[in-house]
Amino acid sequence: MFKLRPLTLFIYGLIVTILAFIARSTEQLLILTLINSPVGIVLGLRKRFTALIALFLVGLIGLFINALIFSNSGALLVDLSFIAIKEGAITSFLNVTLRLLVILGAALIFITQTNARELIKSLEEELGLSKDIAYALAVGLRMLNILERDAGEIRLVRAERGFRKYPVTPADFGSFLRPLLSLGLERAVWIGIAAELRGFAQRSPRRVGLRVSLKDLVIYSILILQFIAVFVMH
Amino acid sequence: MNILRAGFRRGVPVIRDVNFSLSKGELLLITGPSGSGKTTLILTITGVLNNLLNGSVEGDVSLAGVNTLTPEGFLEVPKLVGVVLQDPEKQLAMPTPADEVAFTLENLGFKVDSELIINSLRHVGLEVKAYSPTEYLSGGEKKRLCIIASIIHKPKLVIFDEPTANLDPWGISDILKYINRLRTEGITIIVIEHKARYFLGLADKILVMKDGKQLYYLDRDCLSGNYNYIINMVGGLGIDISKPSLTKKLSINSSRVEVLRAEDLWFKYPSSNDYVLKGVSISLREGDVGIIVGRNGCGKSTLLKVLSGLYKAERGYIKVIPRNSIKRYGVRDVFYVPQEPDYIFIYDKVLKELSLLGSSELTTITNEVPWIKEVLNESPYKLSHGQRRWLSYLIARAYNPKVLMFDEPTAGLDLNLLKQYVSWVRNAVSEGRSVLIASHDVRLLGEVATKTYIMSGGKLVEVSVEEAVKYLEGPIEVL
Repeated sequence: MFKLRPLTLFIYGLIVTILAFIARSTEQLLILTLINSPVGIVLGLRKRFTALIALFLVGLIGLFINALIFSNSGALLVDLSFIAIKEGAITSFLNVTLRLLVILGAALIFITQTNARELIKSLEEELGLSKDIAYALAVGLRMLNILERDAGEIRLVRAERGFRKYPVTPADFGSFLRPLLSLGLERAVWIGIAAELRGFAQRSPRRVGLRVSLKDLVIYSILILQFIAVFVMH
Repeated sequence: MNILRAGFRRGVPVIRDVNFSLSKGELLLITGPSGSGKTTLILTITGVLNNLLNGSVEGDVSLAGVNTLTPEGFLEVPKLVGVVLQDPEKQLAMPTPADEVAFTLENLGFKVDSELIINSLRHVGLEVKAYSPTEYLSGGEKKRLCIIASIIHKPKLVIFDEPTANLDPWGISDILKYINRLRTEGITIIVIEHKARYFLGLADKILVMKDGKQLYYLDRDCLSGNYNYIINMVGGLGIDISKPSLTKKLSINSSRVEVLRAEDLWFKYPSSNDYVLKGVSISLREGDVGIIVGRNGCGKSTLLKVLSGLYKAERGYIKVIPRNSIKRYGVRDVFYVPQEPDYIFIYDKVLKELSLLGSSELTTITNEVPWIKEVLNESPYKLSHGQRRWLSYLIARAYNPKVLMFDEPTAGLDLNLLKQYVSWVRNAVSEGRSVLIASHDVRLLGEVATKTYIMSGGKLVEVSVEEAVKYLEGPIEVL
């Protein structure tokens, strides 16, 4: 795949995420999903972000239960004797799932195609973003790979201890996230110290202003199309 | 440097009364047992403790005329000092080695020149991996990357925090050669290390710490090759200063039943075409302590995961045989303890983690490990790293496995903690369990091994303890 500018990808990911929240109807969300999710998921699978995708799929169970509890109204669709599934639950489940699929797709496009150092430079020099925010974003990108490895190890040991490999209940999520956060926090503190000891406080980027290439224009055009789709169909 | 008191909170000093001076080109070895305040001393010297972590420091630190404790002096520290932290995962922030080196240069206002970056990476043998993802580097390669990224701007002082931690002997040998090269180039160096024996031949001065205090400060006149004098002086402090002993072998009964048999195991990761295990066979009898040694990344951890049923072998078979009867292979017959203890915790309280134990077993454990009683209602994550590691061992024992498997259980442990671990393994063996350990820690071999294996190229070969020691000590002795 041709290389894209980190700033373009950042703006693209940010605006698509905002559009996912603005879009209200299933049709609007479907357009956004079809544009972003297949590309994002294919790129994610190629770069081994399978756990993130698997976690999303597992989360769908929770979403469906949530829809059944809070939005199960309207016309009756299926009566399973122990539970009646109504139109409202399906619509609500579909909308939230599509919204999350859009965000997942955009996030995967961004994280698989971006180099952390180029991102810092691009955000600082072109967008004038604070170096602290740019660095935090870049470290976050690097941490994703390490978190992926940690999550794999945690799943193995959970299975060994007789617990579900993939979290389903809130208690599962709690016990799954606790070690990830503990390790992540400890690493973040030391990476921060290491960066300061390598002169991060003295970093003073030069501003170069926005640069737009043909490839960036293609991406911005796709973004504008999605923008129009959401607002025209509003 | 003259530090009267320093700590993370005012009134609670972690280090007290430490003072030393260093001239250009000298190497100071700071050693001491775990918890003696060595890492806090680095944070103090570099001004991080009081300028970044809101800690309290009373005293003076002067580095080439700059007082690093003042905010203005602290800003000068990155230009003057290169710091290589213990764990590369807590230092490396960029996606590739070239980006990591460029990050330091950019921060300090140097021109980022790709030729300079590649040449500097060539110094540490990483030029061919300059643009490879950092996560694919081995432990030794990551450590070398940390070094070059910390010294690319040619600082006057380089500080190494536990440079041999988690490295295999080949990695240690590389680091020793590199530190020696820096020293001959006239760079002043501070090495903080509890495995002091690797640095005795390089050190111009040695500072021994215990409980946050300076216990001994030996200069070149005291040293002058008289290592026996130093060994006698610091013996018993938990510092690795002499070669490991081979005299305390575990006595074993020859008529023991076989508890684990694996034959012709083949395994590869789905993402790779190369086999990590190529026809590995192993057998353990009741009370055996098997130690598998080998280079970082040779497949030791993978083998443990396959043997404990966490990964499925592509070919071959594994049988766990308790009490002479063939029993269905189950995860609680074999329990794998990962190197990182945090992976194993499920609950928010220590007591819940040990809930599989009956009350009498819990009492036995609290008698064996008294501090556990004090922390039963604490979160496992609030414990120190050493305590968390102990808790992971206790959780494993709570599953009452026939075979316990440990992945690098002694990484980062000083000699005192290593002895506690050895005693714990001996207890487990006396209860009729067998133990299999993946490690490149030569200290373990002479203490507990009844069987030793060398893993290389996907194959496992059984060797004598002496041969395994020779294999691990070889790269260091060549120096």
